[in-house]
Amino acid sequence: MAHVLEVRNITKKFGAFAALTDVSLSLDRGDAHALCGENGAGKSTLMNIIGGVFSATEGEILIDGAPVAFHNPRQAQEAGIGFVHQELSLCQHLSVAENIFIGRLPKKNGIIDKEKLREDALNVLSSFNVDFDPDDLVGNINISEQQIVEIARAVSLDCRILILDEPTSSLTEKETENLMRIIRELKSHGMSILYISHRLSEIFEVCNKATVLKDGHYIWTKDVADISSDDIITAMVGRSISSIYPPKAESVGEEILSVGHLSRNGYFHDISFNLRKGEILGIAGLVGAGRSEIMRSLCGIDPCDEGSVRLFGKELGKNDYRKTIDEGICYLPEDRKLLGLFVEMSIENNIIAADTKAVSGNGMILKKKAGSFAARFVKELNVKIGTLEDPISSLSGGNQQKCLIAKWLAPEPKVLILDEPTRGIDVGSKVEIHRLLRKLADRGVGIIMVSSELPEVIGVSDRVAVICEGSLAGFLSGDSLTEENIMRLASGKEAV
Amino acid sequence: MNSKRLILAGLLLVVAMGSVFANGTGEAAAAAGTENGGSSVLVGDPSEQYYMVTFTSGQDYWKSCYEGFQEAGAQFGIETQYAGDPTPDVAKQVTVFDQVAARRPMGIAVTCANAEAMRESINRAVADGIAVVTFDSDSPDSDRATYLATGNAAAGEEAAKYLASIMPDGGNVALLYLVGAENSEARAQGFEDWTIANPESGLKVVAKVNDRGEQTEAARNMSAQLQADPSITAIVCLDSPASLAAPTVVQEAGRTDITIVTFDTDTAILDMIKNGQIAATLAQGTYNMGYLSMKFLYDMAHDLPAKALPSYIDTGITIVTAENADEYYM
Amino acid sequence: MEIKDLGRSLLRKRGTTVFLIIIASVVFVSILEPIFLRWSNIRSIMIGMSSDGLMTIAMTLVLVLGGIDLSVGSVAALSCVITGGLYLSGMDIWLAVLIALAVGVLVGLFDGIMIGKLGLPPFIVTLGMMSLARGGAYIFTQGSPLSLSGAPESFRFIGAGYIADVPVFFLIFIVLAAIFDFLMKHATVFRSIFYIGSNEKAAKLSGINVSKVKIWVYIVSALLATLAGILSLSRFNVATPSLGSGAETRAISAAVIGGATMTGGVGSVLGGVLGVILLNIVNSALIMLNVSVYWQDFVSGFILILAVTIDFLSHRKKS
Repeated sequence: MAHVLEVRNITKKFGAFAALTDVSLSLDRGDAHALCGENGAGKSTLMNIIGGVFSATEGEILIDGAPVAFHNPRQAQEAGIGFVHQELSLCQHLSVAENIFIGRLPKKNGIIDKEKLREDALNVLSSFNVDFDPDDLVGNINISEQQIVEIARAVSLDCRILILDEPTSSLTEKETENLMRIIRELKSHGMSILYISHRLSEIFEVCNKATVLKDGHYIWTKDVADISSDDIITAMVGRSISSIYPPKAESVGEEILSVGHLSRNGYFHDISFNLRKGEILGIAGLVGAGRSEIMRSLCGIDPCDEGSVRLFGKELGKNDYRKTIDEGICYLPEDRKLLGLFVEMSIENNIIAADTKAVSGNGMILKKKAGSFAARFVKELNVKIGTLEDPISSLSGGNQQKCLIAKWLAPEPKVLILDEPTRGIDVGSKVEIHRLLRKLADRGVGIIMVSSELPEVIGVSDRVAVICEGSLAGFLSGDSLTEENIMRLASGKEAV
Repeated sequence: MNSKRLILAGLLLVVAMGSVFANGTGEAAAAAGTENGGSSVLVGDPSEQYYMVTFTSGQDYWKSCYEGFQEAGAQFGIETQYAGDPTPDVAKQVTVFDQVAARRPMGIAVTCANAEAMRESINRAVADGIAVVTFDSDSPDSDRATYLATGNAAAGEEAAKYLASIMPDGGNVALLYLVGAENSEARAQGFEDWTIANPESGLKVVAKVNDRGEQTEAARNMSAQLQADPSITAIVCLDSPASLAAPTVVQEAGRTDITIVTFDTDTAILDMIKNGQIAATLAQGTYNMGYLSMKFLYDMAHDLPAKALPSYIDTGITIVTAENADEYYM
Repeated sequence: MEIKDLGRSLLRKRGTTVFLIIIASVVFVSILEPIFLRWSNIRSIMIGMSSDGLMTIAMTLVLVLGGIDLSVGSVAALSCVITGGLYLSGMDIWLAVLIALAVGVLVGLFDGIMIGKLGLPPFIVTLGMMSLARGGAYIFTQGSPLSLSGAPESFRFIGAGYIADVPVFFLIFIVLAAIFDFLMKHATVFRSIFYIGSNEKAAKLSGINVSKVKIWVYIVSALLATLAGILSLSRFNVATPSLGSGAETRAISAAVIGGATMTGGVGSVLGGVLGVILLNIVNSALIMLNVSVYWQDFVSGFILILAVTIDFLSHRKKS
């Protein structure tokens, strides 16, 4: 019997550069097939070819055994392929319902049938367990809710083949569970799924097959039941990673940062914690608990109503982020595209952005100084780039994140606060970033890491503060630092 | 990407050409062909060039100046040239003037968008041996030989006198013009000063309305003023947009008792005089300005006058009514 | 709870704030000068805003698309002189109107292809068209205004006529505004404009023919500007090449007051209409209250900033 989807000997060249070389894979009805590989391995390229965004240089695509050629995404859509992209492609100014049915609004004589639209949207959303209303504007719901809209849209397209590109990168545990459940349900109804994710645990939970790509080449396809996550990582990276997470701190030193009774009406209240030299403090909690808000108020980006922040005993003035940076606390925001990177600018300009004083003289930026400054960091963080002049958008997610970290290392901070630092980044880069954080902590920089990825929180942090609905639920470390305890505290229950 | 750039460049080129085109570097009509050369000193060499340079070159006002200039030129057997920038932009006019001067014509008659800005250019031209006179808007500190004009203030005064003559019982007057524009403000001042000095006329300026240089705006503001003050029985329009808007405003307000007096002799204004919507318009001797400018330039270029020519010539003002409107069509 | 929800959603709508500001202004002025509310004054405000109003409809559409059209004033002038000029040279006026409309379509098509197909920035393309059309108007008339004597009553009716004492020019504007407002909210084809303005890439990927929609929007914009020019010709009985200069700024202001942004994806024709009404009421009020002519611009600008700021603050999203 023919495969639902088969790609044979796909090669894709962009000019002289071969993004994919002779890649083949097949998908059967009811499969959830994971596609793994480091950034640059060619996963997105392959998916884009299947999704009709571009066409292969060589090779063929077959659906139900018959060859097809897509000249645009619409044709792929019509052939039953649904694509949920990693970079959300929603229209912020329009409603959820309008986004789900973009391009196919129900109409009567050219006039939108608003009732049917709402009804259809409610229908689609019913299996997702959501809090928002189809008439809400997408711009007004949070990122994780937006992602659900994206997925709902693809599902509503009655596709037979669903491509999911890093779908859970901003979802909470609960929403991820939801998605897993939906995927299982879809599978049981005959949907075939191609799943790109860096979260190996998800792959093992819901996929039955896995394919690994490396540097554009096909490595292998195996049944998930027959392999372990180490096997996948080894195949992706080409070398075995002895342990995924760096070792924890042996000992911790003096107190660097002390936060006392920090409160902001409507967002969080009475947050107190401290950070010691050499330690990495993880901040865990459900999405929406207020973790990012706490960090932003701590730094002075957002105001706060009460509380104090002390750095090496000295109290910091509130509400002046520039001053806070000068004192030595830097914050890496959650949404790097929106808040961290200057997407149109070059790599060099991005890296020097936080500390232009270091590379200027007489108020003008000195080109040479900027260049060597940026180069130093690129080397230290092992960022794979073409030249420093290249736009930062040309880099992979992982490398972009490294540049963002480089930007904030430049002013030599005493405390570095990172918000979801490895979201959407491939395993190889993740490991490097974790190692880097540990190196920095060992060097004496205080590290606070907000993360929703439990394995990461547990693996990297020495101590974890759990936030639940704006309050501090508790601290965990050592033996009590388990996924279960984090979840319990995050949901308002007691730890065991 | 390259083809995009090319098209963009092409587009910009078209824009540039468009402004040159609308620049009105119109040529004059042919010379009134007498024989070439000739013994009389009053017959010019056809190769001689005389230019008139203006700003807001599209306006009818300058057209009648140029008509005078051209016809005077024809008497000498000379083809005249017209140059200017279609906008009121001072820098642009300076550029046009300099370009014209670079061609070393025999004479230039120029009306200055700004006295100071033009001074340098005029002095340079004079130093180069080009005869220069100014008309309508002067550059008094420059080396220009003569200034020909009908003072705008004097024109305003004439308008007041005329209005008083056709409205023996007096009335409340609204002045409609581009507030802040030098020549309009001068006209307005002249008008108002006369009404204040002659209270027995019964005319009183009760409103100064801004026409913002465009007829829809003129109409909007004047309508509002009429609504605010229904006692207005006369509207004096000091520039073209005002003149074009006023009759419509009066009609829309349903008023038949308002007298309109305007300035300049646009065809449209003359038509409206003939059909009774406008009582009269004031023609500021524009023909004379051009005519006499050409005469003076020729004289100076050929070193004819024994004594220096007067430094100021008043070119007079005519009141155009339904009786003599036909003479003013161009 | 239905009424409360309705109330809250109404309050959140951009238009409501502007509407309230308009009511407040009218009340304020009428107390000081009761003649403000006289029908003749209202009528004069109606006709005064109609030309700008048509251009505001156009500008709203273009801004929602994520573009801009700086040429609306110039295109009005061009159509005005083409219609007038052709009529004066002997053509039937309605034929002249048709030709002017055809020219409008060509202008819009040109803009649309440059912007929609070739991807040139709308600011530059329409800036160029602004000069081109204005220059064209000057060339066509050699700079002088043309007066239409003896234009047929039927033509004069559309710009200078009245139905039940309401100016026809205004009625045409309002009817078109209502139609476009409805279409923008309810017609699938017009909804695409929002999608494109909000996220062009996403729109393209979901099968919306982006370049086709863009071309049509610029054609509609040019046609509305053309209509404004033709109706102005009918109103004034004079064809002037200087018509409409500065109109694009007023149209942008009105559209933005009404909720449109310079980045696209949001905006409403009804809001734009309220914006035009507000601007015109303020203008009339300043004159009615005898505010010195030198202060009028200042006060107008101040009120514009005030209106937009109040509205912006009342809508600020929790970040």
